[in-house]
Amino acid sequence: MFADFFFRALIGGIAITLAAGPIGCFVVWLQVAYFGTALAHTVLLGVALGYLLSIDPALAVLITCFLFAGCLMLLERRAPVSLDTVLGVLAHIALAGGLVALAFMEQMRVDLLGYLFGDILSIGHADLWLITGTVAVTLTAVSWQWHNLLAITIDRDLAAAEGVPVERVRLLLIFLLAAVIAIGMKMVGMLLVVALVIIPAAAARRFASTPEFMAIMAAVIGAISVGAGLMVSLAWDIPAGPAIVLVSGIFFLAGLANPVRKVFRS
Amino acid sequence: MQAPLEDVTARDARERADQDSPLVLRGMTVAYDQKPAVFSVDATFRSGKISGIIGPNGAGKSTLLRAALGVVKPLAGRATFFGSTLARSRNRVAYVPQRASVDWDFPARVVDVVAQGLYRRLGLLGRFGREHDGMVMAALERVGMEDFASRQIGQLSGGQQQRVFLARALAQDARLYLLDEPFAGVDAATERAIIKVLKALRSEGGTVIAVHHDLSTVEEYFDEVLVMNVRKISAGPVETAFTPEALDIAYGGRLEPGMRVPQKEPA
Repeated sequence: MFADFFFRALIGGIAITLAAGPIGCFVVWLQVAYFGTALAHTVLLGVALGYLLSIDPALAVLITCFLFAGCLMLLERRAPVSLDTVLGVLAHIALAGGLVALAFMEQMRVDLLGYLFGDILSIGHADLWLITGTVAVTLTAVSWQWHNLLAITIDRDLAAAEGVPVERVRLLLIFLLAAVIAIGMKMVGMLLVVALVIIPAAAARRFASTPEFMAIMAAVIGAISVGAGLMVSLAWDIPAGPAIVLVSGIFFLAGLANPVRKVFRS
Repeated sequence: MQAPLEDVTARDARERADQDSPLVLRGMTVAYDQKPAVFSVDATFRSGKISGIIGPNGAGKSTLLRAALGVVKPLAGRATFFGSTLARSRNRVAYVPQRASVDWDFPARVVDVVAQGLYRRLGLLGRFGREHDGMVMAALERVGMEDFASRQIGQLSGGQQQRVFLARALAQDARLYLLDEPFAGVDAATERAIIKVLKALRSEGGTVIAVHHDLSTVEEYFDEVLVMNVRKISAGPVETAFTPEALDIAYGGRLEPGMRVPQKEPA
C-alpha cells in the first residue's frame, strides 16, 4: 500500500535520528545548540556551491557545514568580539550570501521551500546512501570517543588535567553535529533541523538515569517520531517535516509530566 | 665516578630535593590578554605534606595550579611531577577542580562520576570489573557519600558534589592530590569531611596541594604555604612563611575585615 518513496523516507529518517539522538545529547549537555543553528544557516550557501561546482547538492551542503564548523572553532578560540555576536553575524551573512548566490542562477529552479522546511518524501537512492554512510561514520566516531566526550561534559578543566585532548574532542563533536545538520536538513529543512537534534535528547532526559541510556532513548524517541510523523502526514495530508518535529515535541511534554526527580531517588 | 660528599654544592642539594618532590615549578608565567596573572613563580612542594597556595582574589593561585596541570598554557616556565613530565606521572596525580558542578541536564549517578575517573586507567580495551566497583564505593565511603551512590549527581548540593569529585580523585589512588579551593562555598560538615580526608592522605604518605583563601584556617589545615600575589612572596613551613609581613605584601596592606592576621603565640 505504501509507495517506494515512503519507505525511503522512513528508512532515511530513522537513520538520521539514530545519529541525531546521541549527538543531540551532547548538544544539550554542553549547551552548544547555537552552533547547530548557525550551521543550519549555511545550507543555502552549500546548495549554491553545489550547483556552481556541479556536484551533488547534499554533498556540497555537507562540505560547507564542515568548513563553517572549522571557522567557528577557530573563532571560538580567538573571537574579536563575543562569540554570540560572531555567530549571529556569520550565520546570517552565510544565509544572505546563499540567497543571493541562488538568485544569480536564473537557469536553475531551486525549491527554496524544500530547503527551508525539508522534503523527506523526496529522499532518493543517492541520498539514502549519503545518509546511511554519514550516520555510520558518526555513530562509530561517537562510540570511539565516548569516554573522552563524557569527560569534557562532566568538567572540561578536569578532562584537560587528565590528558584528554579537549580541543580536538570538541572539534570532533562540532564536525559530527555539522554532519547531522547536513543530512537532517533534507528531512525537516534548515529551519527545523536543530529541533530534530535537540528535542529527542531533551525529551529523553526525563526517562534516563545514565548518559548511555539517554543517548539510546533519544535515538528511539527520534525514530518513533519519524514513523508516527510520517503516518500522520500521510493520513491528514500535512507536511511531513513539521509533523515529525511536533510528535517529538509531544514526547518532550510527556517527559515534563514524568516526575523524574522522584523516580531516580533511591 | 662518585662525587665526594663535601663537593655537594647548594645547587646539587636543590636538585636532589627537586628529584624527590612531587611537584616543582620553575619560572611559571601565565598571561591573559597580555596581562600577567602569574609571574615567574618557583616552588618546590615537599612530599608527604599538606601545602596551601595562599593569596588574595585574582592573585593567580588557581591559574598557577591550572598551568602546572596544562589546563592553561603557560607563557614560560615548566612543571615537573615526580622528577618527570606530567604525561609520565598521570597515574600518580589527581585533580579536584574548583566548584566542579554537573548540570541537571546530565544524567549520571554519583557512582558513574566517580567511576569515570578510573577509565583512563583501564585504557581502550580495559573492562570495568568488580574490583573497580569496590574502589568506587571505598572512595565514596571515605568522603561520607556512600548513601548517595545511586543518586543523580545534579540533585546534590554544591558541597556534596565537591565531596563526590574528591571521591573521584581518591578512587584514582594517586600520590599527589591537587585541589582548587576545596573549601570555597561548602557547608561546615563538608569542610570537616574534606580536611579529615586530606589529613588521612598525608598520614598515608600522600602529598596534598590546595589553593586556599581563608586565612583564619591556614595554620590549622596546612603544613607549608606558598604565599603569592602574581609573584611568589614567601614559601615554606607555615611558621616561617605565613607571616604578617608576607601577608601585608600579598594583600597590599588592605586585609579585608574578618581576615585574621596570624599572631605568633608563645609556645
